[in-house]
Amino acid sequence: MERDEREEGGLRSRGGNGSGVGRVALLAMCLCLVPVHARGAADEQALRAQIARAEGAELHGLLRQWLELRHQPAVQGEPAVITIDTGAGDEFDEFAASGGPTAAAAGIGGSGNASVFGRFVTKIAVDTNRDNRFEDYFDWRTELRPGVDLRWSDVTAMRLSAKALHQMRTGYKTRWDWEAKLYEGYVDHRAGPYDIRLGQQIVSWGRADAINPTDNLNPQDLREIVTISADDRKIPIPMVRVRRAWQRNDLDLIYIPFFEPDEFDLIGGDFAALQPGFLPKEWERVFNKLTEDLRGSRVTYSGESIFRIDEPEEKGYNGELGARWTSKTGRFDYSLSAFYTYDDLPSFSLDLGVLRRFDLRDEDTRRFLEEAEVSDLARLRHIFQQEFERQWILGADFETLAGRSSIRGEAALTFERVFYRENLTRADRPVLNYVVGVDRTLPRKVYANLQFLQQVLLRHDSDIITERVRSGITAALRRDFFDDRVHLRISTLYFLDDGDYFLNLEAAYEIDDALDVAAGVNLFQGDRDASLLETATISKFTNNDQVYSRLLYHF
Amino acid sequence: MAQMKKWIGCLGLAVALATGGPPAAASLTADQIIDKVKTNAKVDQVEFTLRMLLVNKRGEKRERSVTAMKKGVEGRQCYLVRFLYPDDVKGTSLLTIDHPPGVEDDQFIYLPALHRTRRISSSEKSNSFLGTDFSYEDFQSRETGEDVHVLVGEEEVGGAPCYRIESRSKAPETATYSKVVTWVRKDIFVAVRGEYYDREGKLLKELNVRKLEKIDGIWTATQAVMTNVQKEHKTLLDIVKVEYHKPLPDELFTRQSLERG
Repeated sequence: MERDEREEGGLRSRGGNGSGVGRVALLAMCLCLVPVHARGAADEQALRAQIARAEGAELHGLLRQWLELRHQPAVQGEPAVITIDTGAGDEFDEFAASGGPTAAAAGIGGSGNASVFGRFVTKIAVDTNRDNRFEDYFDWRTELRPGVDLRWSDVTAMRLSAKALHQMRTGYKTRWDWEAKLYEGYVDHRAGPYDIRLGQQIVSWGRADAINPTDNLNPQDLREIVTISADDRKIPIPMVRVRRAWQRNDLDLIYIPFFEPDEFDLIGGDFAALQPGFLPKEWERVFNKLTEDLRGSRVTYSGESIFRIDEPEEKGYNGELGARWTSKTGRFDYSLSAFYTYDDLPSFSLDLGVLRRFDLRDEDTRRFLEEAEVSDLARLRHIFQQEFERQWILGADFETLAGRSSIRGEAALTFERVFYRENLTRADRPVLNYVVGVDRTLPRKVYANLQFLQQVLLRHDSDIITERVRSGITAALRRDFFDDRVHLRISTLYFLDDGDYFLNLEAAYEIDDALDVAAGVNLFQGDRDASLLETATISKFTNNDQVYSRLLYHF
Repeated sequence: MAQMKKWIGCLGLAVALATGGPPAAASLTADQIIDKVKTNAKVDQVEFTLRMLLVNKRGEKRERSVTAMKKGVEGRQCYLVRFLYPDDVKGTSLLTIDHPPGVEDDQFIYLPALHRTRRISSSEKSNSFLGTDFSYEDFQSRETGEDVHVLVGEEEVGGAPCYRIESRSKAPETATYSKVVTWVRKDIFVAVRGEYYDREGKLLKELNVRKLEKIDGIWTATQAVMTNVQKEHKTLLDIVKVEYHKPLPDELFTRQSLERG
């Protein structure tokens, strides 16, 4: 190469071969620095073409123009919007103009100031078989649950909701029950890394499905047991909850100042503790008399009770305390918990001395019991003593993935729970409850869930009525059809020891985003010789098979 | 000397230019084009609100609204989606934490009715997101190296020249789609069309971007249509609000945060 050519810029090709590489490299470096403004595209194309042909000083000058073009600020009129015809123009314009719901939720996580929510559900259930004259065969239950979320600031929010319930049942008598009460009412406040929630609330621990041995913070409404979902059975109660999260760990602290027991029916409901056939035959006529005198009304534990009640006094030291630590290792999430609590169901102690004085073989005793009014029977309260037992519950749960499946497990060790001996005296024993399960979406988008559960009574004695080990499984299948508007579901709880099972089949249809209807069947199957103190649960309610329909509206 | 300076100047210019940008557009590889698309879309933090209209083959319509946030936390991209509408899913939240290629991303969903957070398995990621034509997996980002990208040609979309790129997962046994075809505008490196093929190789879904807007200097697809051609169902997506570089706290992308509000 001549010296002059080199001095002119050093860009002149040096003959046939490698000399073109530098030129191409330089071109390449220039042409793709930054995104080009839409308007400049045509200019860029022309400039490229010129650069490709230019040499020497001309090339140098064109490169400078190129740089200026790329770093030009957006010229006036340059489009900031590009519309592409997709054939859905009118439909899109109409949708965009409709300005539909984008109201951000209130609450600390949201940005709106207030949002109203709620649901209305009405359900009609009909028993398929009427086993005794006291049984309800028609049940119409309606519930309204409105609420409001209010956001005071970036760190403080509040929720208030109410629950109104109306129930009409026909069987022995036609009865209407209703109640209205505060459901949730709490304040959320974020103080630095801490989330604090004060007030009436629901807290859910555990990771398994439907059956959660570690989830004991809220009492439950057991008046309907399995026919309403486990989460709908929970009763919100006043609590103080403080959470502190790190990127991988989470600490959850709970204080429950005032004890509240489970709600359950003593007499008068299809899932009441006392049912026809539970008591020994000698007491059956007493039970029938009592039921008739009560005119078939429900005697719910939280309402009137003819039995002595010993509930924990409402003092600070009588509160319940819980702590749960959550962490993860890789794909394995786990939690450890400890809960110092009361059993939400009372234990029953029988005063055998008093009981022995009621010899039903004695004619006078029998006549007294058969002819006594309810208030007279209240004098029997000394026979039974109810007590809510203090307990420690140590829990652990985990969740992980195995391929396309989720595996979850949960275990709770309770110190101690009350069990009964054959002579009706009590035996306090530690008990281990655990559940482990797997779920997965199968081919054809069928969701399947299978769990194994077990209760192990530790330090078991042969005269304790409850078996040392009791095992069962839960299984559920679900599939959606017609653009996820139709849902079919089947679920079961099956006890391996005695073959008792509960089965639910349901079909639901979403009429629109707010309204859906469902129809289904609940089946209870078991050997119906369970007495009051037998531990079989499903078999107690084999007379409660029902078909139902439900309407649910969200707002 | 003057000539030497001129030579050095040109060389300096060349060096300066060499420190930025990929080689000539004409010789861009598919990986480079995909990288460019990701680079253009890369922001530290963003929050947006979007509405979706679901239309089935009978013309019946349903609506969905979500708000979504994205941020890099401890070197990983995190996404938080909160459902605003319909009312039966309001409050449901989805947290996604990206991991390096070869490690499955974490996804958690909070269900207010259950007061619980659940981990989502890969078998559920291909499921429909709120009944739309998007799956959970469609909302996850993929690293360029997770797929094999091939530049198969150029076509015009809406009058603008585009690169046409075919992408196939390097792990086809677990992939939702056997193939994805993407059209990328050559001028602004934004994807404006996509075709998604099922595991049998049949066309399953089409994505068409209807509107691009330059927001805070970033070209953003603000309206798009995803059509499931097999089910004759489509989802219209309309982003109603976008805030790039909005400060978002790290602790927003934790499981605890899912259960707030």
